[in-house]
Amino acid sequence: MNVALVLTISVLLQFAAAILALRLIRITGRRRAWVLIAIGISIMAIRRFITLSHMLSGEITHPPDLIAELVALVTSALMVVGVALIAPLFLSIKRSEEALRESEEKYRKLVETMNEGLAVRDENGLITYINDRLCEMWGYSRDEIIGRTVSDFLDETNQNIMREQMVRRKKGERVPYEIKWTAKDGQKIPTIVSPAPLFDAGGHFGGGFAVITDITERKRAEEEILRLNAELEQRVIERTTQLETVNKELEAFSYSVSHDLRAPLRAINGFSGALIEDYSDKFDAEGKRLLNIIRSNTKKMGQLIDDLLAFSRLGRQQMAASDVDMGELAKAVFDEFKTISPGQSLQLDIQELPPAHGDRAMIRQVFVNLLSNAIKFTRPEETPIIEIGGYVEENENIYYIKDNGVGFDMQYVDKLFGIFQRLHSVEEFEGTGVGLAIVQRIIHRHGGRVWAEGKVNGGATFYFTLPRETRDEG
Amino acid sequence: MVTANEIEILLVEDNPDDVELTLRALRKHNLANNVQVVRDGAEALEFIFCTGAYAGRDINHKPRVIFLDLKLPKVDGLEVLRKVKSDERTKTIPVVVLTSSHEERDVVESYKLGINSYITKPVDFDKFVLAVKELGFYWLLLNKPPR
Repeated sequence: MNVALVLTISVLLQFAAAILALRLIRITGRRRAWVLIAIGISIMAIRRFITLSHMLSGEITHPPDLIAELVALVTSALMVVGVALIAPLFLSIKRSEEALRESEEKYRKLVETMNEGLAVRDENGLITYINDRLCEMWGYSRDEIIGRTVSDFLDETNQNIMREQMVRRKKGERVPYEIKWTAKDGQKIPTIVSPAPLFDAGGHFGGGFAVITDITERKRAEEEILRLNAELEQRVIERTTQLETVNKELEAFSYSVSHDLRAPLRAINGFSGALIEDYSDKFDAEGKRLLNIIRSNTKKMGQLIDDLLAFSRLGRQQMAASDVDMGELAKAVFDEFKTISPGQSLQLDIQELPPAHGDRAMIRQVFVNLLSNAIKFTRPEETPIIEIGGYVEENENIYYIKDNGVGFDMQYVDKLFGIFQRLHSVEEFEGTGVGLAIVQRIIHRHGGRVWAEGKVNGGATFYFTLPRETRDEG
Repeated sequence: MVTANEIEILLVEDNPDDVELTLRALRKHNLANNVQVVRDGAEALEFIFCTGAYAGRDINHKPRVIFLDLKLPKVDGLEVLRKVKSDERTKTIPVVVLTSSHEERDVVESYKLGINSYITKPVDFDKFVLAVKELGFYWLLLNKPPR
């Protein structure tokens, strides 16, 4: 009975082993090998089964040896375990094969679809692989390219570049370089080649691959930029020449104004003076008054011409920038005014001023013009007070000159800095209306700003700024 | 009429009105006795270097001072100045540039060439008289040039 049980288990185990072996076909392939193994195991199982049936039917009088059958049982069990254990090994091999195939597929797709050309060469420089993009770029079919050397697709000049590059490649250098390919239709295609030389385990050069980027568009854009730059340069030169011509004409004009316009005025002034002197007995008081009107008007016109010339000269004058002690400069200008008009009681309240960087002579002119205005327009005051101050802002210094004079109507603030613009009659306050225009031009040339605040009979404050770093804005 | 050798002031001026006014200003201060007027740069050079119309003049009788306008016909004032100041015989003659030009380049150029004074002729005749008087006295009386 025991022998029958052992035989039964052996048969079952052997069939299980055969089935398992057949199942492995799916994982590993090699159908024939596994079928043979399965058949072999099955035959052993059938043989056991025949023995068992003979034993149960009592056809054999001597039952098989229990020990031998037990050994057979263990062998069958080992078979099942062996086949079962080998399965995961095959499974993992299969998985890594699949992964490799997938990865290869991925890279193949990448290479085939990438926008750059790709060529692989063997150690003799023969092309072994190229992608579709490179075929397209060169205009040849793959069959026309494979097995040829890259030099077949280069003109002489570029062949020299390639030869030189090959020498570098063999040294292991892999710096991208520019080269022009000759396409099938003869067109030259500018490219950047990023090479990757390959070396075998022994360090021998074994060819390599290269990524080839078509830079036709980039070259075209570069050329366009160069062309536009050259055009711009040309236009700047032309414009500068024009401006220089205009400037020269202007200079000639003001020179001529200065010379020729003043001469007749001088004559009118001089000879009407001579009339008064030499013929004083022939003129009555009214006649002399009229002649004096002529004289004073020539003087006024002379002043206008001078102011206008000073103003126009300012635009052309070269700037000589240096560090300027603004406090000292303002004080010096004010003291000069005091010596000119000692009669007027003037009180100056000067704060500490931040130092500036600019053209000292021009900035001095700003103080002269602003202070003379302040003095002029405080004349009706009993106690004129002029305040000069300044403070530092982020990128600029702000200075101001404040007075308690007649002030102005803010309605006309826009007119203040215009040339020949005046807010008072000449009878009230003398002047030609150029002073503030000059102030504005000087400050603008320094890259600063000017503005004013005021109130009728409430004083006026003039502000100007100077950038902390001065540049000539022309 | 004074003889060419006694000239104290050489006035180089093309504008007749300016000539008359300048003479008038000089006369006011009794400086107009020995004045020679020339109307252009070429005539000025002839006078100074005793050539052409002035060939008979003695170059050693130098004018005590030259009042020189810059904008002149034929040879301009700066050229006259350059010639006067580069000649050993004449370079000690004081030259006062008298012009209506305010142009800076004229001033700079003139000083480079060695002028002694510079008057911008003002429109106001009274101021001009004052300037002429001061400079005339200065160069004729106070600053006697080496003989």
